[in-house]
Amino acid sequence: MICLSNLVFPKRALGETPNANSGFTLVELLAAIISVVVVLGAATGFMITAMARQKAVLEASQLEAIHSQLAASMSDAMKTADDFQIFPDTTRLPASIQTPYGGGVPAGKVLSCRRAAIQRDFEFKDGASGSGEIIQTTTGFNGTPVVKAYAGVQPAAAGIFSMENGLLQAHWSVVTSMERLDFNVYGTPLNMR
Amino acid sequence: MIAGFQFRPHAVFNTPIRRVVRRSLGGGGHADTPTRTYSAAGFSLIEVLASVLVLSIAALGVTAVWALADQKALYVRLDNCATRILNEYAELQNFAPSYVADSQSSFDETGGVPLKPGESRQGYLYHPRNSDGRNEPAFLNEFPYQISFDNAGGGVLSLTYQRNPGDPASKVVATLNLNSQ
Repeated sequence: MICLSNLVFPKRALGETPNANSGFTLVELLAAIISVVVVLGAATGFMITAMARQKAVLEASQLEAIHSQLAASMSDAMKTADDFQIFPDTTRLPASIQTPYGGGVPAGKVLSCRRAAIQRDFEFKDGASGSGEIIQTTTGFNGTPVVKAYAGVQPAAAGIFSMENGLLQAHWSVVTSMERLDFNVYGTPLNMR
Repeated sequence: MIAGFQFRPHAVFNTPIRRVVRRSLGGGGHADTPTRTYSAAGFSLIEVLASVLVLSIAALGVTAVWALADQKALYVRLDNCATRILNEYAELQNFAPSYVADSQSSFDETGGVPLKPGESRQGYLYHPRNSDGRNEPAFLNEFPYQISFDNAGGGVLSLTYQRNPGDPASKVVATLNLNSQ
């Protein structure tokens, strides 16, 4: 005969020795399921948080590596230049490599460096969200420009390119989802050393 | 035939979910009717809770590993930042006109003023986002560093910081010889 009381009220109490016919009761099963769900839920939450943070760290590291590459390229252009000039914007840039630079400004948003018929221009463009980007344009013998863009740039308050204290320099910050990274580039062209 | 069946009590609702069946593979029992032993005992609540406790400790261990990995990643970023600052100062020391260091009394990072021999300057390696809700200032200054210039041997730049603020044992010193570049 079916005894329903065994389902609702288990005979075996906590701490008693289980008899040969006892297995899980409904209460034990529910307690186990709830406990496992709580533990797995907490572990999943930790894992999702850790993965999101790891993604943010990876993006920040990639942005840092990209801007380190830009800083190295800028430093190389500064130090190996035969001629250079700082302009307030790109409208003052000469139309061709053969055209002399003309007058510049002590601090501005555009740096142009020339060496052996190769011109490298670095231009800061303001963005809508407060940060902008640096556009690097390399023009060679064939006149075809190669353009690279570096996003997430915040220029220093004094301006991004300057000739402060007789030293050609660039200062900007990169804003990632985690932190702010400051970049400073110094160099003196060959003809100034 | 029918007399051979035996009905166990509570056969439907009280049947354990896990049933251990042991069959003797050799020796005991008849050849045509193998011996079966039913052990109907399942897990008790204490056993289940103990297993959940062990699982919880394992989960906490995994999260502790994540925290450790996070800390190591931060240390790597600090080292990278220290190396970058040292390289920037090396360029500054090499290319800035020497008279600037003597003529400037205050330091501005965007001014391009090199270090004088024996002089040291302070700064911060890490600028995390401010998450206090007001976001003012937007970025914080953490992990202070000190960079100094020694003219001996052609010039040596030294950058010092502590990985764990307040723990002198975690001090890190990175140096760069200007002549070796």
